Amino acid sequence: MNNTPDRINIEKSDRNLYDEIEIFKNKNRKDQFLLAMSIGFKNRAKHPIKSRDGFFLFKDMKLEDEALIKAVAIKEEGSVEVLSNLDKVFKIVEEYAHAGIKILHDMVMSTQYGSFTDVFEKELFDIYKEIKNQIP
Amino acid sequence: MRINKINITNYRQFRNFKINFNKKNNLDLNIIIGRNGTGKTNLLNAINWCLYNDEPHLSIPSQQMPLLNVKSIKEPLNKDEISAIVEIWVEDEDRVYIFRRKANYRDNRNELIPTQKTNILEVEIHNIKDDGNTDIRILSGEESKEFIERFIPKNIRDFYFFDGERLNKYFEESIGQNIRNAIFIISQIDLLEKVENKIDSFLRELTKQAGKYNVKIEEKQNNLNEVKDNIKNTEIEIEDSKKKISEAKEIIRKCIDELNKFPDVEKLEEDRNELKKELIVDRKHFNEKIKEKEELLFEYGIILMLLPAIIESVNIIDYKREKKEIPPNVNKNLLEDIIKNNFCSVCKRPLNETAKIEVINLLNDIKLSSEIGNQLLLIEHPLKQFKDKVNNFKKKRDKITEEVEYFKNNINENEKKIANIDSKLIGYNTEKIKKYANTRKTFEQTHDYNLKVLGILTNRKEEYIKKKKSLEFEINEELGKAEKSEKIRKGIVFFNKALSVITEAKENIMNKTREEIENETRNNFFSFIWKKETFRDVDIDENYAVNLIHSLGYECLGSTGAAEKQLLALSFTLAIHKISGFSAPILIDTPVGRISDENRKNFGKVFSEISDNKQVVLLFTPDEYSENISSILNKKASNMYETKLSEDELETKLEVL
Repeated sequence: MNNTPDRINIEKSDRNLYDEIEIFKNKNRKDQFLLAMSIGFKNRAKHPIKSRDGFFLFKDMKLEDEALIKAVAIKEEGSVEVLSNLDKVFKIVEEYAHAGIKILHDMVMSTQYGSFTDVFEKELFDIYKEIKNQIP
Repeated sequence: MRINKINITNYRQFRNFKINFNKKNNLDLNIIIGRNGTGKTNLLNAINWCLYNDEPHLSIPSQQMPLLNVKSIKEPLNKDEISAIVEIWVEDEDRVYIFRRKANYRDNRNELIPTQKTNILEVEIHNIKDDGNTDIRILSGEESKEFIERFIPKNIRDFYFFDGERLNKYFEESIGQNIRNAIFIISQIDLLEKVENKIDSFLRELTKQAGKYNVKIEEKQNNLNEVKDNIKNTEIEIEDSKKKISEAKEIIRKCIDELNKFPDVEKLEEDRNELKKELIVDRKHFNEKIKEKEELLFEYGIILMLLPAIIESVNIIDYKREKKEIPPNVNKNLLEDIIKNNFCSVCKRPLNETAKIEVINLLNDIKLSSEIGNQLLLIEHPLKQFKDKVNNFKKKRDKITEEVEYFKNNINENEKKIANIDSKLIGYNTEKIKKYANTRKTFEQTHDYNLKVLGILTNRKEEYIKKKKSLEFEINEELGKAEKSEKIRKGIVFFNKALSVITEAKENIMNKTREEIENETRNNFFSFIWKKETFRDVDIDENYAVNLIHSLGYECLGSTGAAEKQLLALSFTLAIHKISGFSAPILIDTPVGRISDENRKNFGKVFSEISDNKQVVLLFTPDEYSENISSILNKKASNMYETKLSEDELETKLEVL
């Protein structure tokens, strides 16, 4: 029997948070998850999942998306060996997304309606300024 | 279905009035000409009174008069009762329907006006059989009312028997809402609404029962009921804001119409119109660019935040490539063959147990590293692309920001110019200009504000729907936990499915009907219109507002002439006839009262064309039936009558022309 996980899960109670975020309108679950995961990763915040709830199927991920979650797992473990354990890769990214969605939700709710994009843009530009020297 | 004749006795100025609408040589265009006050409009009232027991077109003088014919009241009586009767004979293939309303009045000579004793509606159905005999069935009471609802429902009668003035004012009223109501009735989805409500009450009851087995279900059900109520309330609010948008739009159109009548403001209005058009285009581009920017930030947000992970992975891949660990350099298939055949194909001898274990261990090690190696190879290219992409972020972000700013500035500039024109208009000495300019400004603000509200409410409704689905899912899960509630769970699942099918069907039917009416209105309009090149399209938007699109691409109903507006209204009315499936005649009182002589000719052609497919009854004043229109309609008329008043001016007489 193949025990490879076939789906990405979220914390059950997070589903409402995903549904309430304005910028997630017209975005599929996979893209919503990737942004939440990125925010968790950026903030080095990772929370264990208590109650798992299937969010989307792994087959919905394109190679580029797969590359991103695997890169996160490699960075987290400091080793490429983690790639042989997809369960572990999923666990890492799901925990980042769990923490990330709360951060994002708080950010959205604490800004005035319609002004989140400006705040988000500023944050991204600060990140860009910070890291641009790292890129050859 | 067509009206064959109308018989009126003792109703208003009709003492003993009979009018025939027989087809002649397949022509079915009926013309009635009469000076004001000779009873044309009361003929329209007589039809309404007979079918629906009301008189919506009653003039002020007629309102002061009794329904019962004045002459009949004055004349000496031989019996105790006087009756007012209107009979409409309708023929439909091999059937004849006689709609008859009879009001009996008690003769009380001590009172000025006799009191009404009874008011009865009857429908006689004459079914002509193959052998030539006729079956007659008489309906009365509720049955007769129901039958009329199947002939022409009361709610849409205004699309069949109406005053031409209605066509003229068609787009000055809150027509969006009226159109929505008409589409609602024509779609016949009221039945679906009833079923929807019934199923919802079943569902609430079932879940209440399930709550007995599990407290969580009760709690979630209460939340669900609350969400359902929120959806209904939001829908009401959505309808309300759509109504406000539609009303504001009509008032703005009216103001533009009025302002254009002043020669002094013509140039200003022209400039304002141009600026408004530019504003619409700039706002559209602005919103598109904002969306593009959001997409860009979303995409780059993920990459930028994950960049440390991307860089580290790329570095590892590069290192492993340098160390020649990737691509995997051991032939995995070769090792698998050696184990399978128990024979080493490299040193050409069989494997002993120790050698076999060693090869198996080697394969396991290689399997692991080669699997990882292959994975690294797969992710290498996309990760390097992400890394390179980051370099473009600033350039792309700057470009889109510049474009957003460009449209934002254009919008601000145009808004300033429009405000400038508005203050000039308001500053005019002419009170009327001031009034219309001010009103337009107010309603433009109302319109824009309600558009935003509508957007917020629509989003809110979507959120509630998502919550509803999620709660339904959770309730279903809870129900699955208790065996006892399995039967209830199945019931809830079934009713939920039924409910979603009905809700979806309702929306689909409404949208489909709107689209069909839109297509039919468009076809009618472009087949009738005389200025073929001036207009490009007709549409009915989601708020049920009718828009007329100029060949240059802008919405122009507000600034178009009365004749074109009236033609559009007529096109819409005929679309309602066709899509509703009620194939009744069209009867219009003063159809071209507000149309200039030049365009009457065009309307003559339109009515003549309409009468090829359905019965048309037109009631004109002699002035209205000028040479321009009569020269066309006389050739096509099947019947022509003139209404005149008797010498004592108390009775309408009919003359055949």
